[in-house]
Amino acid sequence: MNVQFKKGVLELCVLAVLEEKDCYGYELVHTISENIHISEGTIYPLMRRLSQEGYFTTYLKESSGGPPRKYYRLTDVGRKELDRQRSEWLEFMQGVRNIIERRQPDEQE
Amino acid sequence: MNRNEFMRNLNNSLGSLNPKEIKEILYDYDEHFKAALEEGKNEQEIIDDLGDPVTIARMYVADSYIKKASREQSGTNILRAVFATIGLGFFNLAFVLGPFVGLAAVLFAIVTTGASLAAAGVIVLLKLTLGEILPVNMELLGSPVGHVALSISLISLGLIMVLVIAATTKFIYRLFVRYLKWNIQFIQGGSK
Repeated sequence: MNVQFKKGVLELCVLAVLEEKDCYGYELVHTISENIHISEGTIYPLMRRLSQEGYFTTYLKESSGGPPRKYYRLTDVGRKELDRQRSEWLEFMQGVRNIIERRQPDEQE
Repeated sequence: MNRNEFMRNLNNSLGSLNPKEIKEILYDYDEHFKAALEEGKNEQEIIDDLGDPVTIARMYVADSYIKKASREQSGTNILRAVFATIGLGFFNLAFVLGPFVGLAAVLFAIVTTGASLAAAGVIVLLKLTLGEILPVNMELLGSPVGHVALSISLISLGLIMVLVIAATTKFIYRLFVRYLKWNIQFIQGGSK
């Protein structure tokens, strides 16, 4: 699958996964890589950057029979950014579909 | 490659980052290995899924330099950020190095042209005041008024060019840092 499609949308995916629930690193990475074919290692730098931009906060939570795990939680700023990216992406997707299915914009009404 | 080698390569390639940052980054991967092993994956599978540690490290380094360039405007910082971003892949070579060199060249050209014009203006003035001493042929100008007018025009034009560039450099710097961030967002490498 074209590499360029994936990269631009990875941020959106990370934000969307966290909208549903707080996740720890591996859980998040796994959810994404189950759905899109990517190198899992590229998600951690992305998460670090998004944390620094203020889209998540992190906290430690006890895990059953093991050391505490680092969990990521979406912030309000993160939620806003998610909404923004999501609507951009949906608009884009619709535009592409119009083109490849050779529909006119007004036909979708 | 085994887990220790992976972590070692990652650690070594992160070199330029500060120790606290490196520790936090490595911690994420330790957690990843632990969680994946618990799920029953073996080391080799985990490493294959993660990808190349050197590539991963370059992403952290690029992010770090861009953040630094953004916080503290300096020639060194922007240069490091540009080269770290280019290090992420060939796409960046064309889309980052090209514009960067072009932009720097244009700014430099305007400044040197401005400075030259101003210098020429000064020479014309000197010619007027020092007469025959300077070997500059200014017959066309005729009267002293012509000399002064030309001189003022040249100096003004020259100074305007230099000052405009000086005033906009900060702004252009900030714009370029944003361009680098945009590049990182869309070009962040390492897909299977």
